[in-house]
Amino acid sequence: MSNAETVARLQKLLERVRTRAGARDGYRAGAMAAPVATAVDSAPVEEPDQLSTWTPPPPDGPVPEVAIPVDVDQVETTQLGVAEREAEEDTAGHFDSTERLVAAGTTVAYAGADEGSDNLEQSPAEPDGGLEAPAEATRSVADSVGEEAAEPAPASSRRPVMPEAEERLARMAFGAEEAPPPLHTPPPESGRVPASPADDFDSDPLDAPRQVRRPDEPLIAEATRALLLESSVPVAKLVGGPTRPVAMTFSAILDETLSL
Amino acid sequence: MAAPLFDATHAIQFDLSRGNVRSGEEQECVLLVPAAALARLTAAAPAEASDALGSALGDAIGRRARARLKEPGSDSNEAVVTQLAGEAALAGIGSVSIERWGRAVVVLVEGSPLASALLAPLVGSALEAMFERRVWCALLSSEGQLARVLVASESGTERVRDWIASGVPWGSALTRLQGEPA
Repeated sequence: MSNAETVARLQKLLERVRTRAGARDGYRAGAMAAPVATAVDSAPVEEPDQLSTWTPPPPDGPVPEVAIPVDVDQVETTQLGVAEREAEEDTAGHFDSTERLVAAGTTVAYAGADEGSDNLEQSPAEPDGGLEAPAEATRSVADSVGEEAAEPAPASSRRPVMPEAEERLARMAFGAEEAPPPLHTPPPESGRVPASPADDFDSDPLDAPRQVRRPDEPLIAEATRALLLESSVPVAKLVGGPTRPVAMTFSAILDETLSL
Repeated sequence: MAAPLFDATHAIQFDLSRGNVRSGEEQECVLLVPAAALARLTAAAPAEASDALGSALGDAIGRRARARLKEPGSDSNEAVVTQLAGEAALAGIGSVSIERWGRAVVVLVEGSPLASALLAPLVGSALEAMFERRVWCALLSSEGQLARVLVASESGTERVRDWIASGVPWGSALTRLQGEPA
């Protein structure tokens, strides 16, 4: 692509940007567009199709001259100039049209992104990779925008409402190879909890150190003695008194013994 | 009800002016005789004389004990024994108590200076005087200072005498007397 075509495209793009800005914010009288033109001229810009999803309606009347506040700080490559870039392209010879389109597109994308985020700033490009810098910088901006768009949804909203159409069709046609994990599991049933297997029972929960007897060690009896009560404890308890015989008269006793 | 204690106050009265010794409410004259003199007498006298002596001594003790009791027929065992033992002690017979071996009554006389042969008629006579009824006694044993006298019927005392004379221990004799195999 020649420089004339590039300039034409840039002007075309500028027109579209002006149109958008006018449709959204209106034109500002006295706005200067020269810096923008300079900035745009300095960068090979081509709007990628994938970055523009909205096409403004054509203006009804003549398009007034407006100055769009475009932040040009982001394009360090504008310092190079078109002529210098031509020379560099000729000498390097390793930039094909696609790369340039990508670089221009990213610049426009940055400009478009600047509409939403005016404070986006780009770090200065490396001296050695002057042409790579805008691409990298704008790519990072675009990536950041894309990352924002591709940022994973929160966990609460990540569950699919229904399976994807292709998966669904495949599942209907060939059947599911393996049952997908259930999205929701029923709550545990109430009632008795089944006992754990006996093998899992640990009789020594405290993990007390167990004494392992060596083979040559003699056996020692481990006596277990009962804890008896102290001798001072009153074990016996007297309930009631001894039965006393009915008082007999000596005369009655004498009668009994005389009967023998 | 606790048995009344034996009251020995002025139980014996010595009349030194007259040279008399009196005992009991009846002021019965008594004689202080050495025990050895009585022992010599009983040793020389026939058995009937010894029995008569013993019966006389017991009758006196029984009458004085009865005088101390209000109603001997309805008094308790302890009350009777207390007064009997008290009067026997005043007479110097020794310490008297009773034991019951089943239905049999055994009178213990401990520390008596009298010969053991006199004790059975003495005890029997004392009880007859107290209760005014016929009583038979037999000497069961005399071991040192302790003598046991059985109170029973006439036939019972005769059988026990025969068993003891044949060498049956007095405990077995008491068992046999009550109809159990000894």
